[in-house]
Amino acid sequence: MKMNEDRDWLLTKANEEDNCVISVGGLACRAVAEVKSHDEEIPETTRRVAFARLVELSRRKLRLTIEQLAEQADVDVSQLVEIEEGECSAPEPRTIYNLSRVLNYPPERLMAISGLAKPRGRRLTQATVRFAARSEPVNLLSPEEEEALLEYVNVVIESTDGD
Amino acid sequence: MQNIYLSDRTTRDIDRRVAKILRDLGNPEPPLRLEEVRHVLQLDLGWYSSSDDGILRETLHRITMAGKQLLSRPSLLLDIVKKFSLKALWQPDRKRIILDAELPDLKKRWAEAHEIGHSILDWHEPMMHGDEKATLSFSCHQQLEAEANFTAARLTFLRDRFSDQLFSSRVTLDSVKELSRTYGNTITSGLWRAVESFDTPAFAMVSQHPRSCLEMNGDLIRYFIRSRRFAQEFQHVSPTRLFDCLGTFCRRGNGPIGTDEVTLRDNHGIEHVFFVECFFNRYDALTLATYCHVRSPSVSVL
Repeated sequence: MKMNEDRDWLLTKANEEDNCVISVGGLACRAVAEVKSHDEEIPETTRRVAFARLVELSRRKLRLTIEQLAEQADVDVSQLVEIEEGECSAPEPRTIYNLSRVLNYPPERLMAISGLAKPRGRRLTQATVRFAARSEPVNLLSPEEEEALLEYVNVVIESTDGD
Repeated sequence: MQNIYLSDRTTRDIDRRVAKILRDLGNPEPPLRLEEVRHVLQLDLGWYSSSDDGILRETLHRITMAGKQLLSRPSLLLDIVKKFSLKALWQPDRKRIILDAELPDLKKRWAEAHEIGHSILDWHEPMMHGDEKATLSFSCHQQLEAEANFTAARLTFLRDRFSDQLFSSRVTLDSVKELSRTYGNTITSGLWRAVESFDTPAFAMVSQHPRSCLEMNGDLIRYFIRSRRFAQEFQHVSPTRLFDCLGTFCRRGNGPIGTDEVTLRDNHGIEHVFFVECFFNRYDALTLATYCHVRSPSVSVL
């Protein structure tokens, strides 16, 4: 078996085919992740609080009850309640994907905040910690919560690798 | 490896998608032709092997996952394939399944069905990319794999047809083997589907030979499959203990190697009798245990 390991050839091909993505499955993704050194974990309790608040505040911003969000996302009310109470340590991938579509967030980002994946880069991690510290459950979205939510959502949507 | 059960909502969603595919194929008779499923889904199929890895090399230079990282280690994908013994890959951007050409035919079929499973479940697509933004947790990966396996099973066993046929008479290892062949599937996958379909406590095991295990390498127990009720009501019963129990009544050799009644205690300490049969096919010992009755107090206990 012989393959072309010429660096210039590889660089040329990489530039020609930039933004093409291949899936090699979760195990492969994890294997590649093992060689990278700058992953930063979000502390578990902080992550749960941030995720719970993000879902709750986003739902309230859309003026939906829990039941309405569950119906639109086709997920169990009980799992949604667990998520919003910060009690859900391992939500189902399908739940996160469906929630991301209704709440209009990139599914990969929501995966990282929900605990299904570890995020890369510092920006999302640091923003998650700040958001968890700032948000607090109240019935109406206060101006400060609105501001905190907008600021965090901007990072969720816009952050890239290496931030 | 133990089976994990999916939530009702997820299984209903998966079953809806499988039902649509089978309807589009005119509700075919077994064995299901996977090339027809791929045609309906517009999926391509490719092969790789250690002697012909062209498809992997062709794919390699397209990888931007981890960007420059892979350029500095161009053999990384092959390392991954070897390290994790990946037998099948799915490229959502190319709608292509890539299989290990060196797999035995029946295992190729299951591997293909498994990757088709991933392709049908749209929530898998963003999670299966080799994405530089996040690393899947192990439990998330396990869940995705279980969902793909469930989907593959619903497809290749034609939803409830296999279990309806199987349970129309007494379920034995022989009946599972025969019907698995009819559906074009491995006995292991047939055992899996059979046990998960029981509404009584039941379990199955795929393991090394209980009388020859010291002579063989690898894990003693490859798969331990429990019906939902067994998983709920016999939580403390360990597969290792069950494997040891097989050694007390199984003989050496191939083919049917032993049957016996075994008593197990449930979570409340109540004793139940199971009929256990074991078969060795030169590679694996296949064990099926089906529920008989609550043990009467006069009989001796395991």
